[in-house]
Amino acid sequence: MTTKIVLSRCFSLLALRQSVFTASPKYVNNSPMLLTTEGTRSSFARSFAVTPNDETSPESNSEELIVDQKNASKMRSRIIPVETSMKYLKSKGYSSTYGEDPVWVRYRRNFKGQFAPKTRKTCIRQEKISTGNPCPICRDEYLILDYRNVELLKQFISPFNGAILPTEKTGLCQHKHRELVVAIIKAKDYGLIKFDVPSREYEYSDYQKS
Amino acid sequence: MASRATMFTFSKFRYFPVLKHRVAKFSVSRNILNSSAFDPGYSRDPAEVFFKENVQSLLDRLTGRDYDKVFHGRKLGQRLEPPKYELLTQAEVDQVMAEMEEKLKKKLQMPPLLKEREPINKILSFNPELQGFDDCKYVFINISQGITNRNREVVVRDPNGVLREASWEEKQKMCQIYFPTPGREIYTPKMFEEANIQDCLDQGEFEFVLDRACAQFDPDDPDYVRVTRKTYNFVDENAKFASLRSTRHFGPMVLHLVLSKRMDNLLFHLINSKDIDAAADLVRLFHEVESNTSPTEVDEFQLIENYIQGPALKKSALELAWQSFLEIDKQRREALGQQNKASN
Repeated sequence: MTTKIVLSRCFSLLALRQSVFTASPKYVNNSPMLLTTEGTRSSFARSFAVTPNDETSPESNSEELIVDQKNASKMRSRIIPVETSMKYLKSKGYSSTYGEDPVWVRYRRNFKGQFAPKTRKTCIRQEKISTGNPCPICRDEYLILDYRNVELLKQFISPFNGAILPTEKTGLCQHKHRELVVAIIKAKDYGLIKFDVPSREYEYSDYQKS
Repeated sequence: MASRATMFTFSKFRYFPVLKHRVAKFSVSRNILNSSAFDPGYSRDPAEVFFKENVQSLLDRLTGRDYDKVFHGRKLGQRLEPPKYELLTQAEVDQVMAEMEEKLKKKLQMPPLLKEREPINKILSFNPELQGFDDCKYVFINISQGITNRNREVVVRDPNGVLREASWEEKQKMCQIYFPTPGREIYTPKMFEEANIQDCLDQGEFEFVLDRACAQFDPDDPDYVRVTRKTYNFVDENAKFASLRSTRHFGPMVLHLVLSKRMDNLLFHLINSKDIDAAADLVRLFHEVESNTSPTEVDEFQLIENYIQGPALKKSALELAWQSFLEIDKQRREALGQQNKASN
């Protein structure tokens, strides 16, 4: 009974808003949340507001831009350049959100019992966040894991033994953790992240001419 | 594929574009450099000088002994353990200190300063009947225990039927696959490319670059020579000697500077820091390298003065520094003398 009421409420909400939804040609699914414009994907954050008058006109076709503000923050289709992410890490917005701590410190996982299970495979499915409590990297779209973004990568390296922190500590989803590991290896390859090299012993006799 | 238990193992390298290119480059350009016997800019073959006992001891004395710096905790991804506290007698303490001294010598072992190696051009046999047996070359390596990687036999059968000894790069790659050295990558890290080295040096991470070069290359590898000389020259130009003091790289750097006749910056730095013992050792090293003789003067001050008046290249700066040091020293001695008089 409750489900029926909920569904009917949803439909009534839809009717009140009088907005027209279209499914993106790429992702045909039941959720009517995605929008397209002229066949290309666009971010909700950059969508233009559409007045109800436009929506109810009979000429409105499937290629009009319609905003859905409730789910705008969940879209992850826009590719943000690394330079933007590096600038963001120095910005006031970042410091007021995270302070001096690494980005994973203030994140809290939700699970039953004392021991956390393995983190989820991925927070982002079909270019939007498909979970209620996304991991520290997925939830902030301006945190880009790239080998040049050394400031962000260093937050995931242990200050005690130089190892990459496990997901049990950081709470990253498996997909982002793999991206992080690749980025750190690449940064070390380029010499952007310093690390202690194992010491090498020499046999002088190998190099001395007899 | 043959099993590892057999004497020779069989590795097929179908796509080896990096190595093919490298081998070609090697045979064309390196011969021009190696037409002169030594590194461009060296007065002698460094291998003759580096392994001599008195040179080693001089370099060791110059390196210094900052125990905190040498034994700084290395972050190698290891499992951390809490520190151990032990109660020892004086005899046991002395024994532990002796052991520590041995460990320190190992940590401060200097990587050899050598000239670039000659390319390997030895052909073992030519079998034209084998031409076109495959579209790639076959590389064979001897994986027996008990031989060093330097002496390990690695041979290559080219598709044109030539059986030759593997080039240095092929040999190093094969040895790294079967007998990996920790800290060494199979493909040369991008850090050692020109632009990226410069970035690291500008950041001041000299020890990191040199440590990684030691792990990645052999001391006579052209890449090692290029990276280390660039680092030593950068340190010399910017007078950042303090960062490499008490590390294993200080000795080879000093020898490089002496051989390329640019030790004056270092001497200037040592005089300014009032480290006269080290300055005297440096001048002794200069004489040892140039003429295989140890100088006759016993007095360190005289030794340094003779060098500044004689073979030094940056006479004006050195004389200025030396004069100011002498004045400070005179004042110090006078002050000490007055103190002694007052206490008597």
